[in-house]
Amino acid sequence: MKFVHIADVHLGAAPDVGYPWNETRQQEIWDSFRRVIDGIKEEGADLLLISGDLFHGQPLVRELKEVAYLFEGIPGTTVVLIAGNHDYLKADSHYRTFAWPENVICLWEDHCVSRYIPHIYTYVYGMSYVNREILEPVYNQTYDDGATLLESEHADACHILVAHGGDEKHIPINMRKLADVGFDYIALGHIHKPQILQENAIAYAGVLEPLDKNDIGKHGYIKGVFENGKISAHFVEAACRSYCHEEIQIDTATTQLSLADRIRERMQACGADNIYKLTLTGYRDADVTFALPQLKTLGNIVEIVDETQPDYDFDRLSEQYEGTLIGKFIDSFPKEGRTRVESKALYYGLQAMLEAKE
Amino acid sequence: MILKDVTAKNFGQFQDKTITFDPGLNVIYGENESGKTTLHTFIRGMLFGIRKLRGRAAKTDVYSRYEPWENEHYYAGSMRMESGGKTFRLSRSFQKTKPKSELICETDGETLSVEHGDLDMLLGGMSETVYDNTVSIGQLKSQTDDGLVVELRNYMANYQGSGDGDLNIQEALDTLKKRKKEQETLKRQGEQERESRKRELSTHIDYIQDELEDAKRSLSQKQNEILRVEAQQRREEERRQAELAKMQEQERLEQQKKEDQEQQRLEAERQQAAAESQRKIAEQKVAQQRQNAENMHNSRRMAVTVAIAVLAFIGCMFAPDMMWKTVIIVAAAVVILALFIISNRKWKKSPKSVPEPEEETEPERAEVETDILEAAQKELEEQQRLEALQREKEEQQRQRMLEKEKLRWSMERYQEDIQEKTIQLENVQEDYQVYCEAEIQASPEEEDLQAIQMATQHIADIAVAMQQAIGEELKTRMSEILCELTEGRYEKIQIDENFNMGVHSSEHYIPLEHLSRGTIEQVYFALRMAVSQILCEDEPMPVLLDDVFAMYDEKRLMQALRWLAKQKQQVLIFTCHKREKELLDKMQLNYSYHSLR
Repeated sequence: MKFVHIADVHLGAAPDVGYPWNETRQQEIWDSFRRVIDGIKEEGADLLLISGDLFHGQPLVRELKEVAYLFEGIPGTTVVLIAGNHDYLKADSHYRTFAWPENVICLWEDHCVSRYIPHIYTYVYGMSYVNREILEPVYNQTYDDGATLLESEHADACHILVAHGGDEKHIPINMRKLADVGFDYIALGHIHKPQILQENAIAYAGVLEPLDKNDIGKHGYIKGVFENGKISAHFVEAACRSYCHEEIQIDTATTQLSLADRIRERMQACGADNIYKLTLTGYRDADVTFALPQLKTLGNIVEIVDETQPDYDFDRLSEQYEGTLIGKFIDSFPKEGRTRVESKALYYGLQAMLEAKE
Repeated sequence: MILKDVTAKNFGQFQDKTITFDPGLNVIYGENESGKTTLHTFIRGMLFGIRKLRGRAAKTDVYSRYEPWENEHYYAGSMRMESGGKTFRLSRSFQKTKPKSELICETDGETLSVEHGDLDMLLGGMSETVYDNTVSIGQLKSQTDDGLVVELRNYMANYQGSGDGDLNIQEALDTLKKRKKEQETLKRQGEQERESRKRELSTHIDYIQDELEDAKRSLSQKQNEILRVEAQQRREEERRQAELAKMQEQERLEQQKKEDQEQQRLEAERQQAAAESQRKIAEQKVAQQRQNAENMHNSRRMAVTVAIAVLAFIGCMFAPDMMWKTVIIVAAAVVILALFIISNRKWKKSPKSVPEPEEETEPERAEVETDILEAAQKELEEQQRLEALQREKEEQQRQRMLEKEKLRWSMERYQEDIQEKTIQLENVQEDYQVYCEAEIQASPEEEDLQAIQMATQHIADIAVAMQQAIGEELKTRMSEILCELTEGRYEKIQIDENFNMGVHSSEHYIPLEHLSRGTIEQVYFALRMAVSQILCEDEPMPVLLDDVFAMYDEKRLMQALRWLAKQKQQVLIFTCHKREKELLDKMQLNYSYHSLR
């Protein structure tokens, strides 16, 4: 039995409002989802597990029609759908009333239920969000009921839990306990970073396409197979682009223009399509300040953080100016553990005073 | 502290150069380029070390300037000094990769540590900048008198606030103000950018809202249309009903009419039959009456004829002539004849006026036949009209149904549209909210503004505190020194809060601007000496005077040298003139003389 596990597709999301790539990204999220379905069409899969948040908000009918159309294109694949905290089952949610193709199983219940899929000899378990938040550890129910839950007439069938959440406000999960219940595979959603919590057993698929600057690293889905009573699963990279956090080391020779060139080179080397958050570190010439707004236009850059420090040797300065205003000024700040504001105040003050010294 | 001797091993132009100083007044003579400044720098370097600066500053820093071109591993020197009755030996290697320093107390052979602050103790905690402001004194740089006044005043102001005459506090604060403005501009730009993004989002919201409103309007329009169609349908039905009713009424009337006609016909027949029998009776009567009438007529005619004949006879009797008798007889005869003719004709005419029924039967039958045909025709037409009405009704109903169907269908579409738009609106509104929440955190300039504010506050606070601590005492000491230097000519220095300075003689107050350059130099000297006394109270430090007296006339120079000779601390006078030596000799003051090169 072959399966594909995706989560947090967030169809309908438009990341990075106000940035030039905003609309392109909205389309790319759909494109990526379609590519997953195309992949299934080509390579075949018995099961497509969607661990919640297929949509970024409440699904529109026309969006559901698009999705249904795609699902119709893989009639040999059983699609298992749950609603997550973003696309939760509101009272008037179209999820409830939409006419899904035959190969789609929707687990809309607000408590864990199971469905048997005879032709692939598989049980799927799961539930949906009816609210934005669920504070109760609802999956606990499976710890207790687990034994009976899994005691099926098809003892050697494959048992898969499709779950969404895992943080404080979205169904806290005790992974160790959950691992002990006896599921063959737990397909998790909600956490955006893909992570395999237990080899071939428990995994967050992560967002299919990264949604904001904090979704760094690789993104895609999980592909697995159940054979001879054993699961083997692995992560497949599928996202169009990544968000990259890059550190640019500055020294006292760095100027605005040389920095711009280095940023360009770095983005070229790491992939010009990717979206960047840049952090400038190191010691800059005390007389130089970098114009960040200009630098931001060099490519897909969401943010530049300037953590450079002017090239001052505080110990030396403190010693040199002891007993005078500058010395007392330096001493008026804590020697260690300065807050960011204090550090900056120190730089600003020193710079101003040293400039004012003939 | 007293400098005993210095040895520059490999420093600038000095190679193993040793100079030994006296505890009192020392005159170091050297022409330009002979190494006065190098010696100066070396002493400073020995006391505070020379570190290579980072970055751009490295190119022109002291380290590079005096770094030997050859044998750079030997960039070093040593110095001996006396403090608290003990002699110390300080040696340093300035080499940047491994600067080394060694401090040994020669008196008791103890090794001390520069790193751990033992040298600082010897220097009484004096820092490099304090050294620059006290120990090491140069001459005022300005060439003009006005510039001199400004420079002195600035030094005074700066010194009072910062303990550092070279640091212009106001300029520093202005720089911070400029930085603040720059950050505020950046912040505003960021805000505008975020604002425009927010506008973009809210425009999107407005757009969807408008669409939603449109859809709602269209929906209610369609609802109204359905009502209209239904009303129309009702009207049409009513009209049809009315028409049908009218037709039925007409039919009823027609029927009635037919029945009436039949009735009338029967009645007529019956009446005719009755009339027939009556006629026969009447005929008999008539015949009889006619007989009677004829009889009566004849007798009446007879009577009339007789009457006329009588009248004619009478007329003839009375007539004058024959002519008239003839006329009367003829007229009577004519009248009688006429009477006969008229009465006969009257009788003949009367029986003809009664109709003969037997004669009318043929045309009546034809008429009845046409009636029946007409009725059938009418019936058929009626039938056709009814059928047409029915067809029309069905057609109209079908039409209305279709219309309503279409309306319902489009209403459904609008309803779906409204639902979609509502959800879309909610989704976008949520996005907007998330964006606004994220925006609250995002204002990187805020931190910088806070930092600039903090720096400004710290500087201002420290400056005020220093001014309070230094101000008054400085004035007192300066006045004392100036009074001595001028042998009582100027008794007191006055400085107001705006650092306007002036001196009081026994009679006058003279603002600084009106003093001669020589006197201004004296005020400056007094200031520097006062600063030195204040800052080095615990441990009197040597005073290094670098060409300070170039602008002094002989009298002032003698006064200054005399004052210096009286001081407890060691004095090193660097000069390129021979005047100092000559005057000291002339005044027979103790001093030691060193000639460079």
